[in-house]
Amino acid sequence: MSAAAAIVVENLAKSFRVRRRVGLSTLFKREPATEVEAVRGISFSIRPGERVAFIGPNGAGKSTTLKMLTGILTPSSGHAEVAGFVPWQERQKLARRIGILFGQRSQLWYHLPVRDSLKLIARIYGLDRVHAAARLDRLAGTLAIADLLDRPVAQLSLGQRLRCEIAAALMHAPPILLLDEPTIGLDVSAKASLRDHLIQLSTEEGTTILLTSHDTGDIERICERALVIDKGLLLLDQPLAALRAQHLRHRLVTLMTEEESPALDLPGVAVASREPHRTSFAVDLGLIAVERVVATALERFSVRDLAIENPPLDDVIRDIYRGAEARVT
Amino acid sequence: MNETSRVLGASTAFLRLGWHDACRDRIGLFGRLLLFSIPVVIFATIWQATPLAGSGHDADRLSWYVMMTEAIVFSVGYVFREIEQDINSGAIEAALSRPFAYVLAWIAEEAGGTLFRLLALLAYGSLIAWLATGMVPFAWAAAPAIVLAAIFAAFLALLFQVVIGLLTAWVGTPAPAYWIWQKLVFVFGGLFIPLTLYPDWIRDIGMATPFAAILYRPASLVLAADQVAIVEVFLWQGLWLALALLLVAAVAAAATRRFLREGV
Repeated sequence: MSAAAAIVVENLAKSFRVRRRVGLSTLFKREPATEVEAVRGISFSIRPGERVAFIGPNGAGKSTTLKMLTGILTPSSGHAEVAGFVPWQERQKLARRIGILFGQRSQLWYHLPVRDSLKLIARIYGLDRVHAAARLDRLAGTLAIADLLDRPVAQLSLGQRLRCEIAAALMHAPPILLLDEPTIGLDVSAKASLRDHLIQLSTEEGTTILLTSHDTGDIERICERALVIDKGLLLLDQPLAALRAQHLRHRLVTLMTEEESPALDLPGVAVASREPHRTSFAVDLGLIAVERVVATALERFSVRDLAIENPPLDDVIRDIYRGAEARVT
Repeated sequence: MNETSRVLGASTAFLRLGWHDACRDRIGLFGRLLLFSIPVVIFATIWQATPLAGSGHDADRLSWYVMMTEAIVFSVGYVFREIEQDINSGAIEAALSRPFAYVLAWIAEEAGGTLFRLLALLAYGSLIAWLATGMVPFAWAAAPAIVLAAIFAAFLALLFQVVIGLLTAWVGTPAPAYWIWQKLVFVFGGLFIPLTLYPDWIRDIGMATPFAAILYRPASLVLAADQVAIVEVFLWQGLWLALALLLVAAVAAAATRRFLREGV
C-alpha cells in the first residue's frame, strides 16, 4: 500500500440484506432476506492533489463507496485508507481530514445566516476564532459568497447554497474533498461557476478531489482521471485523456457551407445531422483520418466555417458500458 | 485546542444556538404561554373548589404545584421528531461524518431552547399563580433549588425524548413510543395531582419511576421545600439523570452501529 496515497482502496465490497416488506402477509410471516451486492471488490488509489471522477449510472455503487470512504458505512470485506485512517474504524479522526458534500443534503442550518452556520462548523472542528475568521474570509473570496454570508440559508438559491455548502465542507481546510453529485439541480451558469471554484481551490490548496456525478461536464471540467463503475464493479480506471483516446472512435465535423446540403461519399463518413447550409458528419477514425475529411470538404465546397468536436463524454461512457457488457456476455 | 475544550466549545455553541432560536421564536413562546395558562388556571380553580380538609394539602399550594409540573412539560420541545426526520431523510449522514457526536449536538441545542422556555414559563407561571393565590408557598431562599430541580427535570425529559427519537433506527416512526411515554409521565409523574394523593400502591410505583423525578419530585418542593426534601429530590434526579445518560449513550451507540452496518 502506498504511503503517499491520499486514498487507497483494496477489494472493497459491500452487500446489504434486503427484506421485502409489502402486503399483509408479511405482517405475520418473516420474508427471507436477500443479499444485494452494492460494491463488489473494487480497488484503486488516488494521489494527493489528484482530481478524480467516480462515474456510473444509478445504483452502480458510487455513493455506497463514497459512504464507506467517509466512514459512515462499514464494508462487508476489503480494506481502505483515507488520509492514513481506516474510515469505519476512525470515523471521527478522519472527519477532520476530509470535507464532504452531499449535493442533495445540506450541512448548513437552514434558519441561520450562512456566517453563523460556518462559525458553528468552525467550533465543531475546533478552529480558534482568529483562524476561523481568516478561513471564512478566504473562502468567501474564492467562492464569491461574501454577499451571502448574512443571509439565512433558506433564502439562497440552489447555486448560492451549494457554494456555501462547499465553504462548509472546506472550513477546516481538509486535504481531501469528497463530493457526491455536487452540481445536481444547478443551471448551466451556476454549474460552470461552481466547477471553476472547485478547480481554483484544488489548485491553490492542493486538495484531493473525488467526485461522483452524472454530469459529464463536472468530470470533463474538474477531473483529470476517471473511475468508471457499474453494478458494483470497477470497469475502468484511466486518465481522462486516455479514456477519450481509447473510447473515442468518432469525431464530429460540422461544416457551414454556401451549398445547401453538401454530400461526402468517403468511407467511414456519415451524416450525423443536417440543416440548410449546416451539415454535421460523423467520422470513424478507424477508417479515415479527420484531416482527409476536412481537406476533401475544403476542396469540394465553399466552406464558410467548420468545427471539429469530440463526442460528449456521455457517449464515451455508454461505449465503455457496451464494451464491458460485451466482455461479460 | 485540546479535545476536551473543542467538545466543550462546540457543545456551548449548540447550547447558545438552541437558546437564541427559542428567544427568536416569539410566536412559539407566546403560544406556549397561552396554552400553559389554560391548565394552570383551570386546575387552580378546580383545587379551590375541591374539599381538601384532612388531605394534608391546600388549594393554593396545589395550584403552584400544577404550575410547576406544567412549566416542565411545556418547556421541553419535540427533539424526538427532529431526530426522526434526520434519520428518515438521511440528513444524519452529514452529521455522522463530523468530528462531533450527533446526539450530543442535539442534546446541547435542545437543552439551550428548553432552558430558555423553562425560565420564561416559570417566571410567567409564578406571576399567574401568585395572582391566583395571593401567596408564594416557599421561602425565597429555596427558590434557586426549586428552579434547579425544574431544570434537571426538563433535562431528564429531554434525554428520554432523545432515546425515543433514536428508536427511529429500528421502528421508523417513534411517535407511538412517545405517546406512551408522555401518558406515563402524566399519570405516574403526577401532572395534575401530587403522587401523595394517589392510592398507596400506585404512588409507590410512581415514586420508583423516572416520571416522578421529572414532575412530582421537583414540583413537590413548592409543597414543602425543607433541606431534607431538597436533598432527596436532587439525589433521585441525580440517579435518574445518570441512568438516562447511560441509556442515551447505549442506544446512540447501537443506532450508530446499525447505520454503519446497514446504511441510513
